[in-house]
Amino acid sequence: MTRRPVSFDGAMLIPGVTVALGLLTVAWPLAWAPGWAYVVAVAGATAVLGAALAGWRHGPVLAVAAAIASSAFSRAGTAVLAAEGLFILGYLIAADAPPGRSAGLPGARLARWLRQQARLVVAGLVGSGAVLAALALHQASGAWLTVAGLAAAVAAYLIALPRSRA
Amino acid sequence: MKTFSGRTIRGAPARPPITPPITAPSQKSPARWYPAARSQSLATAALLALLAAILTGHAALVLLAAPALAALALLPRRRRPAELAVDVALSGSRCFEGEDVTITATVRGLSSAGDARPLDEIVIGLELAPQVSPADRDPAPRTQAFLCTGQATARWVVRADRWGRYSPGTVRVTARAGAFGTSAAAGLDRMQVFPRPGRLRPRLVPAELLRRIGEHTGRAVGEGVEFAGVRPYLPGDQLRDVNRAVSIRRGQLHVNQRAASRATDLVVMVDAFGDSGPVSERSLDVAVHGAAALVTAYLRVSDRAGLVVLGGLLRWLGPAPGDRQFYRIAEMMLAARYDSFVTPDLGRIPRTALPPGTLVVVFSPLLDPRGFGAVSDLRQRGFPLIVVDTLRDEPPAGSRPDTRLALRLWRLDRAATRSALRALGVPVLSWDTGTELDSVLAPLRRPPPGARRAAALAPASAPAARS
Repeated sequence: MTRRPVSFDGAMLIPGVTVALGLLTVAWPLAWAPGWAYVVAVAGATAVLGAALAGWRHGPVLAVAAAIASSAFSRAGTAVLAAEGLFILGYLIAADAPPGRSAGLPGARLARWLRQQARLVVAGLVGSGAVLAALALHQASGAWLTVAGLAAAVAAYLIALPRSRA
Repeated sequence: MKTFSGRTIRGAPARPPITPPITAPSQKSPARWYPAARSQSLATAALLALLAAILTGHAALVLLAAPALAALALLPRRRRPAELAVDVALSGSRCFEGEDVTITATVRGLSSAGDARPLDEIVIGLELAPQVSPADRDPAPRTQAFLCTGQATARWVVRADRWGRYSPGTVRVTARAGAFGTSAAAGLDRMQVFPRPGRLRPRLVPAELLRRIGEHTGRAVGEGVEFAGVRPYLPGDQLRDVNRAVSIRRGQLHVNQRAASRATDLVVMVDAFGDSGPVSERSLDVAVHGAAALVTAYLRVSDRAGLVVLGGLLRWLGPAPGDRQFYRIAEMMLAARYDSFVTPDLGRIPRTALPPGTLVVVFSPLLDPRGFGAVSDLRQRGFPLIVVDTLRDEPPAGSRPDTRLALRLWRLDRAATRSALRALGVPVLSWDTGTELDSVLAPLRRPPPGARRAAALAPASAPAARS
């Protein structure tokens, strides 16, 4: 049975949260990153602002790519990286929020949308916890393992996204 | 008079009996599902983090990918509708400039059996045509989103800013079901936006009026209401016409004479020659608004009005009375622009479309020689004629001496054209920005014949005015 349609009107709040989360995502690893990462962070911040202000579709992904690049070459610990992973998730969810009414305060409709997203955040927390637990137990490495992991990641991406927009 | 939206426009014709709303047939197209933007961004972020972990050998970087992968895994699994039905409707098919039109878009997710199937998110957006703008009283945003529903309806109130026959915009729909999304677009049907007629009093009439009862004061003595003179009483005169003051003074019965009330025919000629471009469009815009104002004013007082469009393909509409005629003329004006190199042959216009003695008002930018030729032809055929110059732009005056010289030559050329028309006995009036057509036509008004008999000696072709 179809539920009563709910018009979304949280547009006054969501863009601010999105920009804040995006800038936090880009800036978070800088404290442990090398000097050139600041240049990458500036590009990432530009992508965040471009996505929020000009509706640039690929802005969030580019900002996340900049954050991952900064993190990959940083000396950040596991707790910092776990937090960064959650920031990335939060930013991508907020950036995908539907456009809402420009007038009116966010109320029950915003709460309903947030409740829908809460399960994804909980899933992210569980995923981070599982990886943290795995990292605490044992770490193994090897050339074949690296190649297999790389192939698995690309295959998973291609299988998960078999078709592009027509 | 009431307009389509119920507001009142002074002098505008009454609303025609039928103004049907436009409801486009439901567009049911098979939905093509692709990974939604959220799925794509989460997957891309996870892949980048995993690649970074593998390439750098830093296993802790998996922590960047883990939340995104977990969220991807837990995205709701919902059965996707097979079809996305988009219904769009306009509140009316016709309106005047400046009137509001309501656009309604309804989106439904349908299974292959035709049952409603819910969607996680439906975003309905409206892309407006350049001739249309959002109405002041409409609080609805251009894009509206609906959550967890199988059917969503969005409404917008828009204002038609420019006359013409055009589609007010396109409705774009994006829907998401779980990790997948789809999109659709539905164009709105064309509507007719009539030019808003300005206020005008129909005081410009030919010197010789038709022998038909109307509201204009003629030169002949008749049964009108305007005082035309006093004459001695003759058997058969009405007693109520006796002028007591004159009768007592002269010692003989005298009666008042009244001017006859006559009707007139008006034919508006729109010169739509010229290249398409902003200058030409502005000129045509001025001409169409002027024609609408004149036609409305004359039809309101039971005169007959007609239209001739000079623009390659010669089109005409013979003079006729009534509100219906206004809409017939307005619909013809909507398609006034017709690019062509053909020179119109005014001889093709039948006598019923241009009856002898008809007052002809030509709205022309006086740029195309074919328009000038048509005016000369009409004048030589003896029609009382007025030309309203609709050109309000000049070529840009550059800083170089040769461009300034070119501008001076251009002005001289236009002055020569005007002078040639005046030599033919055709008054040429300029319609500048911010001036009402009533003021533009004011120099051609003359007092009623009873007040100044000298008007009777004026050339028969020149138009006169009765107040």
